[in-house]
Amino acid sequence: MPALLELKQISKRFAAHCAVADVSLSIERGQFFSLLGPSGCGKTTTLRIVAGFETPTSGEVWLNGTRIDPLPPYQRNVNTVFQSYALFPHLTVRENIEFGLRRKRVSGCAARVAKVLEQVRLTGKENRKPNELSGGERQRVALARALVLEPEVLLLDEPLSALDPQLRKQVRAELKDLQRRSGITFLLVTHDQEEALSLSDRMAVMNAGVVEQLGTPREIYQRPKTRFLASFLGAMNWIGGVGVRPECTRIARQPNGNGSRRGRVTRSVFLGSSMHVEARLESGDMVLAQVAASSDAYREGETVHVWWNSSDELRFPD
Amino acid sequence: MKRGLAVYAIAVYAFLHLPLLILAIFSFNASKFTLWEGFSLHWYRAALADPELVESALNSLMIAASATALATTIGTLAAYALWKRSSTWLAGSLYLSLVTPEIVTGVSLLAFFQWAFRFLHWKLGMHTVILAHVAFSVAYVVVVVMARLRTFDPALEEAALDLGADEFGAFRRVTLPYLGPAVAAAAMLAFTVSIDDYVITSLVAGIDSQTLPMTIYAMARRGVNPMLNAISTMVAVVLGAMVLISERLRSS
Amino acid sequence: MLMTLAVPSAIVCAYSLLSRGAYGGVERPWTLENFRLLADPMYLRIFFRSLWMAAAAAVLCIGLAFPLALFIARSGRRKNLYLSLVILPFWTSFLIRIYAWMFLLRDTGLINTVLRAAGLIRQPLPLLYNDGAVLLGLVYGFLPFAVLPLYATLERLDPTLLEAAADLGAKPLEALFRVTVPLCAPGIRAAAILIFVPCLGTYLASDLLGGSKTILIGNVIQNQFTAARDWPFGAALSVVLMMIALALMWAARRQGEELV
Repeated sequence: MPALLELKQISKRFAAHCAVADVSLSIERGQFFSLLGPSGCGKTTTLRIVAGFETPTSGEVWLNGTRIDPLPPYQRNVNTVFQSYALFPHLTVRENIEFGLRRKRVSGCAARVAKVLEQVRLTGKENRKPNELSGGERQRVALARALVLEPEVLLLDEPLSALDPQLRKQVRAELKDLQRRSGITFLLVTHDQEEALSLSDRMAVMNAGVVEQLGTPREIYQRPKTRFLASFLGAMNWIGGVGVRPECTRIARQPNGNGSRRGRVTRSVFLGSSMHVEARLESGDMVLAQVAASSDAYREGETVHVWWNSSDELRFPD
Repeated sequence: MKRGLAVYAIAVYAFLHLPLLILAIFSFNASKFTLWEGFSLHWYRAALADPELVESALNSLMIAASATALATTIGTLAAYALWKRSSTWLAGSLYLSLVTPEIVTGVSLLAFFQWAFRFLHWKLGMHTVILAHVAFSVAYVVVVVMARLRTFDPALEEAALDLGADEFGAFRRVTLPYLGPAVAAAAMLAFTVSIDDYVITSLVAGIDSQTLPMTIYAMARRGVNPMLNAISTMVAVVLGAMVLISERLRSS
Repeated sequence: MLMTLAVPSAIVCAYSLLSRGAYGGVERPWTLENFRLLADPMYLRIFFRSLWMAAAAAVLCIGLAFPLALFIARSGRRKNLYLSLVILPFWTSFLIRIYAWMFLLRDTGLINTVLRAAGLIRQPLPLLYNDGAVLLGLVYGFLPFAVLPLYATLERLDPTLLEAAADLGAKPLEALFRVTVPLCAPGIRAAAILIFVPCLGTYLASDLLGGSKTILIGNVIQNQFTAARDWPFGAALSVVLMMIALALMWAARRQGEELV
């Protein structure tokens, strides 16, 4: 199947620095795709290039078999949910949602607005102004305003970052649900790894303007290609040049065969569902083990033994 | 659209600046007419030698200096009082006085003075002009100082009180230094509105208080006069230089 | 403050209800006669003409200022320079700025001289002493009052709103009229009041550029307090102007705006 959205060797240079360097991506129809990376990694610039707010210095953007990078934003069949939502403060919820339909002179406006309002559970609030809505409601208006145009790709720029953490988890589930039901392709930009891992069908991790790895969340988490990825996604112990995830690290008071190493507990933190035990090995390496909350409590300064399965080791060429 | 806007902006700037520039250029014209006949300082010499012009300029300076000193003091204290205890009523009347047509302010003050003269045996003159100028420029001072006070942290004054300063000391040592630049800008503004005013001044002036704008008006009424070009240029340059200097002081 | 603002206004209100004195000034009895005189068709005509002129000046100023304010708001680091270029002529007195136009517009002024020298006209064009010249003077004098509030609102406008408009399919002009202009409504209202009210009482522009043909309410008031010596009637006219200013201020306050 040909890709719906394709970025071919996109680069974007601002005055002195290179925000995006030679990024190529292809996204298939109906996918939930995420761009994950630390702030300043170029993920938002990439999204803005797809939306048409930035012109790439070099490279091409193809949507559904048409080259779109020379087109202005208003001629592209993609829509954006902005980080700040960018709702028009002078218009009501209904007028905000109708805005795009009216620009495109679509008929049957009212029915489509009613449908999308129901989808995002805002029926009955159509005559409110944005400043009369809660944060969660505003986020849903932003979604509805973009979704009502049935774009080929919906671009989401950190759509959950303005919500409080409690709400964020709930909205995350709703977002995934909405994507499945609508069948629209989503391109999400986020710096929150949990968000990217839990939502995406496929994802790309970016760092310093380049795509470090492309794949399913599981592939990237379990088989990171670079040291950056291994440390950026989840926690990682580095012992003698080898990476081991804390949840794969075992710890006990007695040694376990020849493979275990001796160390001294420096800290033990109870986290409710699990426990984090931190120890300094005789080699000087610090190691973190995540163990079940029901296991024994360790005291500071206690001698312990640490080991892991060699299949859980991650090795990187330097 | 961007280029169109830039071209438009140039046209509007030309509209704003060209008339005054042309006036300035022709003030150096040797001829009495609108035809260029060579560079000359004749009209400047004539203007500076005119006793009526010099006297009215001196009057204007005197009035503007006294009115500025009074209006700045009263306006700064009023802004401070308004900041301490906000009063929508007072703030409203302030904005009102800023937009009220000058002619209405002028006749109000004239009527006020005439009414006051029933009790005081005064006549219209220099003092009424100064009082009138204080009255209309106070509002400008309050607005400028208020804008600065909005960014002032009341905790700073409380800190001064906490450290042993009395209320006057806190105002003098903490609040006033913070307001310094705004007070200077307000004084500048008061000075320019005072020295520029014609409409109000002409209504409340007496025989001894002919100001420069009144002289300019009388000359303009009689028609275009090359001496007037020279005076206008001098006034514009002096005021412009004052504004630039005060901007420098404020930014440094 | 009270002394300088409220008391004189109160006295004018009182004067407007008194009778004309023998040698100027005012006398009792109290009367509404001055306001009745306002209904005279001649004064009504002058009043409507003043209203029309002030409204035209406000509309023209705002229309001319909007693209300029947009230009300044979008010009990055040079903003302050461009803004001071707008304010600069404002520091020269209104009187001198009006005189500069007399110099350009009169029969032997620069424009007519140049046109005649170029052979385009034989008789000088009657540019000065008409309504058009007065309007020009008002627009020239009050343009900065429109640029500043418009610039202030445009400056605060969130640029992502324009990106959102483009994203939803609005072409640049559509975005301008559907998003930028409506969101500038507070600036437009502030500019309208800052220009309309002072223009309504304009005196200098109509006196110097309009000549004897263009008499506006400001000139009538001035005349009543000086040559005509009918203070109560002049006071009544002033009261009406004050009422209009007050009503507009009150309307603006209800919209919850700051004017300066």
